[in-house]
Amino acid sequence: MNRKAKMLYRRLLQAVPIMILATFVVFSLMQLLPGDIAVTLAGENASEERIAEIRELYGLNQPFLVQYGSWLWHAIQGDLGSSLLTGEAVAETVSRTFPTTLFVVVYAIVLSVLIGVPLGILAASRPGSPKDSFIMSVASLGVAVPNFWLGMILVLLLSLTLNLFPATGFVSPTEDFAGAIWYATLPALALSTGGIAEVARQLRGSLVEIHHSQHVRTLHAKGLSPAKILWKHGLKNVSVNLLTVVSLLFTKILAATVVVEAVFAIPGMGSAVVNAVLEGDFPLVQGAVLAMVVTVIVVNLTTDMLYTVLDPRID
Amino acid sequence: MCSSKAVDPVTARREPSGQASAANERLLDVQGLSISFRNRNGEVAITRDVSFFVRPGERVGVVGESGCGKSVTGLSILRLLPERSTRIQGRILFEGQDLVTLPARRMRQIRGRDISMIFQEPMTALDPVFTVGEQLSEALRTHFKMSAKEARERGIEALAEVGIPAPARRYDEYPHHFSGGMRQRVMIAMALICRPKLIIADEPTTALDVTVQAQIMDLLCELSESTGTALLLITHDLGVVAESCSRMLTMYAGEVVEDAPVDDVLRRPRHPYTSGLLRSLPRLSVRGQPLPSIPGRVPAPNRMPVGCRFRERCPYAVSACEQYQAIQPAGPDRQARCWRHDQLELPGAVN
Repeated sequence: MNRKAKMLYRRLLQAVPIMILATFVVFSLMQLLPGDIAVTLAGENASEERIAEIRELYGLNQPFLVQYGSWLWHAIQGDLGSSLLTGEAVAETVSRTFPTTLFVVVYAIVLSVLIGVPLGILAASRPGSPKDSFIMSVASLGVAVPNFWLGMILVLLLSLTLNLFPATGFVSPTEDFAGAIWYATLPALALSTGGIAEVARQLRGSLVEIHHSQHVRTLHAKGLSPAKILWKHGLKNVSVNLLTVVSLLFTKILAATVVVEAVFAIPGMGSAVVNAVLEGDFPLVQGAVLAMVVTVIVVNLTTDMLYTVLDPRID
Repeated sequence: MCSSKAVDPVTARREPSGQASAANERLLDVQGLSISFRNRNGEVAITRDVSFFVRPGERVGVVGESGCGKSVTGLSILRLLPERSTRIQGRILFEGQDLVTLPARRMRQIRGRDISMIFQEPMTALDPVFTVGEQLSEALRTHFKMSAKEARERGIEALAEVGIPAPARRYDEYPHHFSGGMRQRVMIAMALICRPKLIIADEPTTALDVTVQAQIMDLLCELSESTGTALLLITHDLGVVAESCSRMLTMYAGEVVEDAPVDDVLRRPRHPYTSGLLRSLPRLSVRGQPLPSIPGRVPAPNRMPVGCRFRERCPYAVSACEQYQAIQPAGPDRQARCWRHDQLELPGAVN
């Protein structure tokens, strides 16, 4: 137990440089973008003096490193600043929009597992059969399809033509859970195709491998039924692989929300970030990046903890 | 054993057949077993017309070099060969019922309960993500209605029975906490836990340290003796067979070439191949002289000669050996697949 606590402590310590590096890289990249927030803030037909004044006011005329240093200094003290455009505190924007994004991401992961696992099992049940080849080719397609395109197709088919799901918008799950699920289904589906495919392929591969292993032969020799071998021994043996896939998916899907939220007009952090990047609203971008980095670190850490639960050989 | 008030479910079913083990009764009777594997290029015959039997409680050794079909024969008895790519002809009678045609569900009831198997590789034969105890009690609870608590008690007893120290503690440990020898002990405990009538041990000591091999073999024989379990021991180690079995089957190129009581075959083999194997045993040959060996190699499965399959390597081959060789009686309780068996005076291992 003590060893686990030590591990946790060490990992959290390692997270600090990662956060600094990530925010620094994003901050640097923002400098390369066209557009000047001072010009936007000054409004139309503003004079040169006015723009210079605004630069002075927000510290935009300072050298780049000084600007970053000042942001970091405040961030360490827990002050993420406020949006240059709206004046809303960044912490507030993040806590308002990030849960929405996380809800869609988690929903997409749940769909990936719920659909991907049965497909993988089905394909692995008879490797090389037409059923297997069919599932695997569809899965390859699933990896290849861009999710924003799929999102638009889904809107066209399932909402505009068949009227099954709303085309855009979002309902908060804390207010109306069923409604939230209903609204988030299409975006989650668009986000999960790659996940479904990856889960199915990985699961199939590891299950086929396990089925040929010597310890499964022992189970047959003991008189266990194929169903028991699959559901009890097979799935526990491949659960580590599955966990790896899911944790990688999390990062991937989190990144993909930026685009998909725009397609479905979801007021999540993704759309907030897109806007902020385009306008050069760096405090908001930095805050959002920080939130994502922390999330990814937490997910990875949880994954590593779960490994030790699922596989007794990992200590 | 645990002091259950009612009849013990595990041992109770053995009583009827237990007392009536007449000398000629056959527990396992393999008749004309031919196994072939299908692949893309057609079919490859692995064994041809393999016949032998095992009496209740008897220990039979199957010897032969790698690729002679002895492991495949062992696996086929429990129907553990890949079903879709294997073709099996012949009969495998176990207590009178043919295992080859038995429905899958009935076959599963026999696996582990009436016939169990010990494999060569103890390091990979256990599921790495379940405790040893779980795997032991699972074997028991698959075949008998039993509470988890009782299965646990019996599992711990089984570990104690195979000489694992601190069995109650080790019951909850994972296979990677065990050494190779200890894992093979676990495999033996698992094979015996349902008190089967037959254990098929496929090279049970080959993957182990030399120092542990003898211990494991002794344990296996001891337990087979004390529980009255028949043992089909597949090995390439003739010394092990000589020490632990009462009968020896020699296989060559997919065929049984000799079947005889161990004492008789050691003294006077009736097939040149058995004789060659016995003579190439290091500790039995004369010091200071090169170790005798059998020249040549086993023909590939798809290029079997027509007549006697050992002909090309046999020092006694004559032109009549080009005819098909059937296995034939060669003395009391023994058979050989050599038409010259009574003409030849073949050297054995003991004089």
